Amino acid sequence: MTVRIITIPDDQTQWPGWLEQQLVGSHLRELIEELRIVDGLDSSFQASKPLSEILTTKQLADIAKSGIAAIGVKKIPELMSNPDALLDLQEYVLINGSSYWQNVPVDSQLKASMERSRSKLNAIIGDSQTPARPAPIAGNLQKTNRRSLTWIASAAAVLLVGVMLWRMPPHPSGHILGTPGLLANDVSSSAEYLQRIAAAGQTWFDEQPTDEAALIALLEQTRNDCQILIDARHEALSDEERIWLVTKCRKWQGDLEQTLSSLKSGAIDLETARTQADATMKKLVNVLQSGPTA
Amino acid sequence: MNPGPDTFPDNATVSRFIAGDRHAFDEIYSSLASPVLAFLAARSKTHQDAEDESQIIWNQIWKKRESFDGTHIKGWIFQIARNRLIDHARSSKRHDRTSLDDGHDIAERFDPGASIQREEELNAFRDCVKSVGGVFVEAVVRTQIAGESPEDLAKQQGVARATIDTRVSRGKQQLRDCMEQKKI
Repeated sequence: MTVRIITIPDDQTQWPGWLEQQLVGSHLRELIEELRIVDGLDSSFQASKPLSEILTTKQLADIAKSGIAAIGVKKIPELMSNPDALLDLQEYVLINGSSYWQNVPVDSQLKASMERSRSKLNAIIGDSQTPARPAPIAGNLQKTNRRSLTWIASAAAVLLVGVMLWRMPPHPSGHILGTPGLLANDVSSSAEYLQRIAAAGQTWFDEQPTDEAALIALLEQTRNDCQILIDARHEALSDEERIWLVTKCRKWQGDLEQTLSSLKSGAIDLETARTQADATMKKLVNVLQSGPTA
Repeated sequence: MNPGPDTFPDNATVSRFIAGDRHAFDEIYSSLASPVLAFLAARSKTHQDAEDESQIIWNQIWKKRESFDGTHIKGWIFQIARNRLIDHARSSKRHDRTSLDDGHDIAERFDPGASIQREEELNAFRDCVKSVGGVFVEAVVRTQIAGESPEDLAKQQGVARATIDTRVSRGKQQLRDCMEQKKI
């Protein structure tokens, strides 16, 4: 067994590169487990702080763009002293990281695992290296048919693009948070855009499901609406604002999912589920009204 | 110039993928399999679990491609991975419902607990931290994890800076030797 914390370089200038490799590699869990064990040996370890209390939105965006070095070496100990925040940071850079992160070297175990998965996946869904090919057409027949085949292929491509455009509306529709036009870039400011989503969120409170099935359906719709917000381009927002919004949406989606599964499993009753969901939606509305600078 | 987070997979590759092009899927896999696996490894009990889940998730990605709206493919893929981990944790019924401070269910962050082998490793590590202990482990933790400067620590403890460096070095070596002896 390799103890991860004794691989921390003595030279502090190498810490950013080392931490980046932990985040994109296969041993972050081990590192976090070890950090929890040494937790308490030093007073700088505190009750786990969330990532948002350690790094600002701007610092996160800088990390996504240029790596850990962008925030300076002095911030790294604070991250290491809050091991759970490392998980959130990992998720953030894996999803939002620029091409910088694609060039951070990964360990051999991860590479080997990736290749094994690829082989097994090919066995399940078919290998792209051996596509079904038409039988070769000999001589003049091949020449004669080439033009018509090209024409058919072009027509098929045009048809395919048409079908795809028809199937891919710019903003998918949802129930409360993904209503048509809600996410259009026709506003004069990002604040106006967020206010509009907040106002849509407020309509949650107009819904009065009378039984469990109706509340489950409403929760499922709203959870799916959160996914629309997570996946949307949010052209009215800056990159930093979009990242902020998506991070918040994931949290709210998780909260709604939790309420939904507790209600379905019978762990909570209808009234409790409604109270929990109301609290989540109230938070959503308030946070969007205040915006990322609050 | 930094090309930003979503330059690859580009829109053309994503469109081909949605249309069922296996080469496009392979390109996306080559680009994103490693981050997805890192995400899974940090949240699964064992590396084997992460690898197994990875295959299931990429199979789902291929099957669900037609329902993808084409925007922010990384976010979409990680959402599938996250949902799969949550489903897996729930179906295995191994997790308790301990809530973290931020209200997230722990199943969303970790497949809780460790494998038997990992438990043994962690117990060995705990023993080694105790047995090496004292000034050596303290020097490692305070300078290498808590970020105190060796100079400040030397002043606080009334020793030379070189002494702190020696303690860090010996602390790491002793931890390494201790784990070696346990042959875990």
